Amino acid sequence: MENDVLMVLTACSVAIPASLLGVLLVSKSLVMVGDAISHAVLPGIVVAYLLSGTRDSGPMLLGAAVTGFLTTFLIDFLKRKWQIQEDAAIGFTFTFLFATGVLLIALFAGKNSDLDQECVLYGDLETSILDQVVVGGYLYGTRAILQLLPLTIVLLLVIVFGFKGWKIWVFNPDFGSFIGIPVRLFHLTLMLLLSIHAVLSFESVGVILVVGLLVLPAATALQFSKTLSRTFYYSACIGIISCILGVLIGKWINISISPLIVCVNGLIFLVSVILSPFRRKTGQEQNAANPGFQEYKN
Amino acid sequence: MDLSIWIVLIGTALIGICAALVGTFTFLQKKSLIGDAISHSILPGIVLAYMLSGQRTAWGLMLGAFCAGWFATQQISWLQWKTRLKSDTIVAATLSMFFAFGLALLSYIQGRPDDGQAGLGDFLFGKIAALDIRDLYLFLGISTVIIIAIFLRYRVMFSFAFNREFMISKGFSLRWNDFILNSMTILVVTMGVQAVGVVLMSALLIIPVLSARMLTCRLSQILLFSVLLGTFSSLLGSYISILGANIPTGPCIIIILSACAIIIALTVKLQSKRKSHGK
Repeated sequence: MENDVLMVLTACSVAIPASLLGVLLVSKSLVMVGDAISHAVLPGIVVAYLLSGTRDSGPMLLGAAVTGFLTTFLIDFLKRKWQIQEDAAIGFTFTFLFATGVLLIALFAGKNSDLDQECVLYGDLETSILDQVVVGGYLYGTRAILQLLPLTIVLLLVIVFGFKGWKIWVFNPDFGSFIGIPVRLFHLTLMLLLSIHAVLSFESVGVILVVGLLVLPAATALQFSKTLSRTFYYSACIGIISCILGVLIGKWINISISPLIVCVNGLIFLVSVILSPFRRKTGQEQNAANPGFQEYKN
Repeated sequence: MDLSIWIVLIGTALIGICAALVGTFTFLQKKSLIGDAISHSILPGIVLAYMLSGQRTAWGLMLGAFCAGWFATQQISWLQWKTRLKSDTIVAATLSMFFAFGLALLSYIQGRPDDGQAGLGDFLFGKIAALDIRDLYLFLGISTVIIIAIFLRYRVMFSFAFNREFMISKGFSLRWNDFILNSMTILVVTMGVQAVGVVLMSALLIIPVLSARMLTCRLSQILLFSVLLGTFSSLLGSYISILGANIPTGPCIIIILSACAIIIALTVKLQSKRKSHGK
């Protein structure tokens, strides 16, 4: 029972900041950049691990921040200077960095080290709760919770105090730069927070599933809310609910919990799409906005 | 060289050729990330096919993969019709749901005692050495279908890529065109995951075309260059991964591909700079 509570708390500590970050990503349609960053922190993690020889979070955070910025700049560079279309630039950047990371693991971090492919890629919530912090006989929580708590607090402060700035950044960046808001700084802050989150959560959910935690709660929240602030509340609530349900179901049928949380989240999303009060696009509108299958916004 | 190495080399060459051909058209229609979505979402199909049939046969797994990929594209278009979300959100949501479902199933069969699922883990990063002669026949069939389809529909797909409104006004069906392109993407991805794995498959669709596009602007030449580059790097990559004991095939191919792309890009940029200085 105590373990279950710990597991829910650990899952929530990953899911809450993810769902908050996700709202910003979804409303700015930067989701694929977020996906790219969560893949691309892998070489940063591996290099930091190989150089320092430990799994301490200090060097890894540094590595992640560097690779996170590298990804952002690389995508920007390819798009602006070499005029490559955005989807291809993203696809190239993250597959290249990710492949580097996997190859580095295979070559240098041998089978005996505690950094293997499986653990980095899928994470393991069940083992990450064994890493407990006990001071003076009292259990303070798992390491993941204590690491992600400061990030969540910083994120909340950044969102609450910069709320108007974020709003302008999302809906009208041209106006923002016109009245002197550092729009670029907001963008970089988001990317930095995103890469730190990807690093801190890779032990619990892995670098691939993070995108599900980012995008699904926010997409669900957008089915019901009309304002940005409400979207934040709903998104965090949906993140928490799916963590609790995921842990309960996972305990019940005994399968790995972190993919299950994303599955539950996905089910909630599909149900919310069916129940959504907003009318769907009319035929004409859809044809005008989106002829056929797909068109990526730039 | 013995037979098994030949099988592996022919198999990777086929994968490289088909991925480059199909990738050109998805790239031109700005749907490159659909390849990423499809390659992630075929994982539950593979695992379910294994659970139902109880053995690891290429036919069964590919059928499962095809169905899952088809479901994913259907879900994407349903969500686009039903919600107001932007398409990148929809693609990412679909991708992560399917991939998570696949991982959950994988952990379920790994928990069972009667495991023969050791081979399934290879689909995540690819292990080309596991290819055998029956897989090769399947590959040959699929690539023939793809090459014939592209040969027959070359002009239509070319026109759709560059002037969609014109083609619609001429009475060509957009849905049919999208359906063919999606089916080809799914086929290529199901084939390619055996070599490079689900995570990195999208790179094989994107990077050869990206570098060919830098060299030239003519579609026929783009097709030619990307096929050459894709084939070359998948052959070299799989050869290196066979030689080395502990090197996963997928990342090896992708690194070589990216290195080629970077070299090509730098050469092109340097030359164009020299030209502009000359003027």
